[in-house]
Amino acid sequence: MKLGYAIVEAFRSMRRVPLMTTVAVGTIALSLMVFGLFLVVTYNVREALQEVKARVDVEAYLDDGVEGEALLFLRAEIAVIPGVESVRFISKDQARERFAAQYGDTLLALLSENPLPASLLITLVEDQRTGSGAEAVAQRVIPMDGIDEVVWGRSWADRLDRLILALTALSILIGLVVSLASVFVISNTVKLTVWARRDAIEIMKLVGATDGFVKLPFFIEGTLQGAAGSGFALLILYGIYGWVLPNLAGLVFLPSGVSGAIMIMGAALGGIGSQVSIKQFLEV
Amino acid sequence: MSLLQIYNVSKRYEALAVLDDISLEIDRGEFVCLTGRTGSGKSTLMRLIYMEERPDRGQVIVEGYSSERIRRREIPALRRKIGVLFQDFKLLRERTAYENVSFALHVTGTPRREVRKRVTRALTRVGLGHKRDAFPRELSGGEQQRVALARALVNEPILLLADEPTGNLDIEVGQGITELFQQVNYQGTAVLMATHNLGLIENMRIRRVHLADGRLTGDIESGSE
Repeated sequence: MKLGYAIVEAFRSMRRVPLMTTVAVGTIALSLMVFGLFLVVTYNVREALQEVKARVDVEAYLDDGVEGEALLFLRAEIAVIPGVESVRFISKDQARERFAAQYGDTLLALLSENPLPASLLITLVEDQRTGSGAEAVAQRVIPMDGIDEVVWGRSWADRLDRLILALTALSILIGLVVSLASVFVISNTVKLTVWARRDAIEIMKLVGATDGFVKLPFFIEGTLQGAAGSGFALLILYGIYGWVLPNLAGLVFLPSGVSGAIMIMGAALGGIGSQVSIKQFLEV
Repeated sequence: MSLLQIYNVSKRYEALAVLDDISLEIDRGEFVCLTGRTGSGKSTLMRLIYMEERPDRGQVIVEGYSSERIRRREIPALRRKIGVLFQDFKLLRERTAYENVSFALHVTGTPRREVRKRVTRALTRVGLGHKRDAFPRELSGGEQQRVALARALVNEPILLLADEPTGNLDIEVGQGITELFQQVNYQGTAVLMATHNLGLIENMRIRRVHLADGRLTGDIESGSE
C-alpha cells in the first residue's frame, strides 16, 4: 500500500511538473555524458598504451653454431626466469626473411652468406613489460653460454613507463574532478526538484505523515530521474561513438560493465540526492 | 484531564521574547478564541501546540504528549489528532479539492477504500460536495478555506487549530467560516482560533484569551455572565 502509493505519487508529481522533470533528467544526462566521455577517452588511451607496451620485449642474439641440445637448454633456462612469458626461436633464415620484409632484400642479395644471427625472442609477462622489467630479464640472459648480445628498447620503454605514469595520474585527477562535478550537479538538480515541492512536504508533515512516507516518493522520483538521465547519457555517448567510429578506426566503446556502473551511479545519485535534500524540509 | 495544557511556557527568537511565561488549559470540546495584534505571538503559540517548535521554558502537553518527552517519530501520531488551518490555506495548486483532502489520508496510510468515503463526507460537511473536482484557482477564497477545513477534519481531529483563518477573506465569508467552526465544535472537536478581527467573534458565546507583549491577559468566558 505504502510502496504502491509512493510509486503512483512519484509518477504523478513528475507528470505535474514536466518542465522541471525534463530539465532534471537533461542535466543529469549531460553531466553523466561528460563523465562517460572522459571514461571512453581514458579507456581508449589505456588500450592503445597497452598495445604499445606489448611490444616491449627482449631479443637475445645467439653465437653462431648454438643448436640442438644446447639451444634447447638455453631456451629452457631463459623460460624459467621470472617475468618471462614465452621464448621463441628465430633461426638465421627467419631473421633473413624478417630483415627482407622490413628493408627489402637487395642488400642481403649482395652478400654470399647470411650475416644475420639466430636469436631468441623473449616475450615478457604483462606486468613486466616495462623498461626495468625488460632490463632485469636481459641482465639474467647476458651471462648465459651461447649468448652473443641482448637488446631491448631501453630508452623508449623507460619513456613509455613515464608517459603511462603521467597519464594515469592525470586521468585519476581529471576523473576525480569530473565525477565530483557530476555528483555536485546531480545532487543540486535533485535538490531543486525537491525544493519545488516543499509546500507538499510541509502539508504532509502537518497532517501527520511519517518521515518515511514523505521520503519514499522522492526517493523513487530521484532514482528514476537518475536512471533516465544516465540512460540518455549512454545513448548520446553511443551516438557520438557511432558517428566518430568510421573516422577513427580502433576506437572502442565502454565495456558493458562500465556502462552498467554509469546507470547505477546515476540512479544512486538521484535516489541518495533526494534523501539528502529532503532532510532540510523535514524539520517542520 | 484537559486536552491541552500549557505550563509557564516561554519562547524567544534571539533577543525577542515572543511568549513570556504563558499558561493555558483547554478542555475537550471547548471553543477558545485567541486574540491579539499581528505579531503578538499567536502563531508561535500554535506552532508550539502542534510541536513544530519546542518551548525554551515550560511545557506543552497535548493529549498526553509532552513537549519535554515527545520523540520525533511520535509527532506524526500527535498531528493526526490535530487539524491545522492557516490564513493562506496552504492548498496544493495542482490538485483538485478532492485530491487536496485525500492527500492527507493517503500520506497517513489510510486504506484506499476508506479514503473515498471519508473525503466525500468531509467535503459535504463543509458544503463543497459539488466542487470536488475544482482546482484551487477555480475556487473563491472562502471555498479554498473550506477545502482546507475539510482536509483538517478528514482525520477526525480532537483539536482544530485555526491561525487567522479569515485573514484573507471578506467579513461575510469569514463569518461563514466561523459558523462552520462552531458546527465542528458542536460535534465535539475543540477549536482554538487565533484572530485579530474582534468583530468576527463579537456575538459568539465563546471563551476568549488575549495575547499582548508575550503575555496572556483577559481570559473571559463570554456569554457566561
